[in-house]
Amino acid sequence: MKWNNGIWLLWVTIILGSILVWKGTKDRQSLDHEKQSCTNVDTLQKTLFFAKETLLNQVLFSGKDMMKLTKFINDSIRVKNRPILVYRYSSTMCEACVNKDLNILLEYLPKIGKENILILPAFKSDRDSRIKMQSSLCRFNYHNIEEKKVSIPVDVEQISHRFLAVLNSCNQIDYIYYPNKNFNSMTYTYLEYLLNEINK
Amino acid sequence: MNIKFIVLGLFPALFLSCENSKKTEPNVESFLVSRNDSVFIANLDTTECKKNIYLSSFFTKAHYIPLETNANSLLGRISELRTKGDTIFILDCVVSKTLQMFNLEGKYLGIVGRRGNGPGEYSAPTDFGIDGEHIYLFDSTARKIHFYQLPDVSYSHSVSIEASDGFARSRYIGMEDGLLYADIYLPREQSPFLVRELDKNSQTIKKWLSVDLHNRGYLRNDYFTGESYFRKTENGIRYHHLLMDTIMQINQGEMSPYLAIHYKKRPTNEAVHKYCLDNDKDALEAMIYLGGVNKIQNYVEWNDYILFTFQLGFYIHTGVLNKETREFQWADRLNYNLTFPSEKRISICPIPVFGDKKGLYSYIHPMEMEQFVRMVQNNETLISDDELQKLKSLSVDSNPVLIYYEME
Repeated sequence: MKWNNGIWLLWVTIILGSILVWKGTKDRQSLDHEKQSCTNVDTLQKTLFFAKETLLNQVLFSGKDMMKLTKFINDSIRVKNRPILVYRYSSTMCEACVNKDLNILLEYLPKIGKENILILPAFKSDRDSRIKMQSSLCRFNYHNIEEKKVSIPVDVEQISHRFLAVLNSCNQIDYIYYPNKNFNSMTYTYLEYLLNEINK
Repeated sequence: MNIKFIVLGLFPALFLSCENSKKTEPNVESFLVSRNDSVFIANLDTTECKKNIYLSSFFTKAHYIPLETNANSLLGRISELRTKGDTIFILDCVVSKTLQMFNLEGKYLGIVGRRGNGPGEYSAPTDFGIDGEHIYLFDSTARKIHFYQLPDVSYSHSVSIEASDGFARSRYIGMEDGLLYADIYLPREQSPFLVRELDKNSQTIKKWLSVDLHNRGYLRNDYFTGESYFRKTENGIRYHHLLMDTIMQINQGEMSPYLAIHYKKRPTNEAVHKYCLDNDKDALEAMIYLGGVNKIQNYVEWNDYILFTFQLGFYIHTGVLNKETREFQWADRLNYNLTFPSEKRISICPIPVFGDKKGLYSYIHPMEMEQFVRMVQNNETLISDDELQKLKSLSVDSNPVLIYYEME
């Protein structure tokens, strides 16, 4: 009798324990699903935020500045390759952000070709600036154009923005893109898109 | 029957308690600073502050080493300098952000690694050192320590410094016997520490100097990683942080005071806190205003000597301590009478960067190059004809010039 009671007790315990474990697993799955949902919503919110930010802080790259830049590339730097990917930034911009962009461009250097990328920093003409450019840009073709010669696009709050763009075979600035440190994946997307377009 | 119900009731409770128990991570033990009965004392009260400490009292010769200037060897600043054999390694973490190599005559030998994002490449190197047959270089942006094999400086491997939540900041490192020491700041850590000892997988083994116990404003992010250094010497690593009046040493896994500055007018913690509260200022500003010691910098050891600059209140002084006699002297300035006439009012102050058994390396800051070049051209320096020949082609745009002060 005692033996039967013991077995019965054991079975009840096992069943109870299983129910509890199953419940715990379900709770965890539900929590994971909720976390994933949050992540998706979070990503969507970020995307919406970025889109909204871009609309609100529309960056103005005037036609006049585009023509000046084109003229500079043609006449002063005399780069003949077309299309050519241009990256322009200034010394006052976030160095870590610029480094990130340059590192991404380095990854694409073999695919795009060194002769098809032109970096146009806007630095002062002093020794430290020359050293900084030489050190960070020695693997690219680059040419310093001071900001007073060719302005860098600004937004409605007068904040200047670094940009990537293509100077196409018609000598027009096209495919303008403003990198954002929070969306490096979009820079990759942009470059992949360019590669597809150019290889068509 | 009653027993059955009791047991039935106990088992679910047992399962529930197991279900709800949290896993605890092992805590890294914090270590207290060990006692050092032979700590060097720099007593500001018993020693008079002189006007000058003359370099000629320690050295007999000065050698100029103009660093070769070419398109690849450009240096903006000399942040750190080390020598190994016949090679001088120079880190510029301000302008070029590269680690360059020159021979003892200043001829350019090449670069260690390169700028970039690939293996062994770096974006923002902030510190480096030599441990045995390896050079280690810290890239603070990538939070990685890169190792390069000597003598050909080929890339060996890298180690990441990361916290489990991904937020860790560090800037300076030291290495000894395969163990790393870093000033890692974990913003989410409740009770941070100034120094950690890491194993080769960058896991924390020990930590020292609790910020809570030594709180003089260390919780400010820029203090935590902006103003400390590790200096490797023959017998251990020296460590210092911005607001400390003591240089610490790390030797065989223990931290102890190495050199302490003593002065009666040391502001108390209460006075510092009160000043901060009353004036809405931070601890550094409080120490400056209250006349406390802060910013022990340009710390070098050569042979039996220790040299450093320190700020006492608003004013910067130079101190030199003889390790053998324990004699300490301090002055308003270090007089470079081996290279510039002492009676003339010269505004060039070569900056001490590294010492070895025989002497001391200093360098002329790029902002002083223009004046230095003019003095060389006008024969206003105390320089032999042989040395003068080396500097003939010097210009304002040249790389910094090293001066090696040598003992007899």
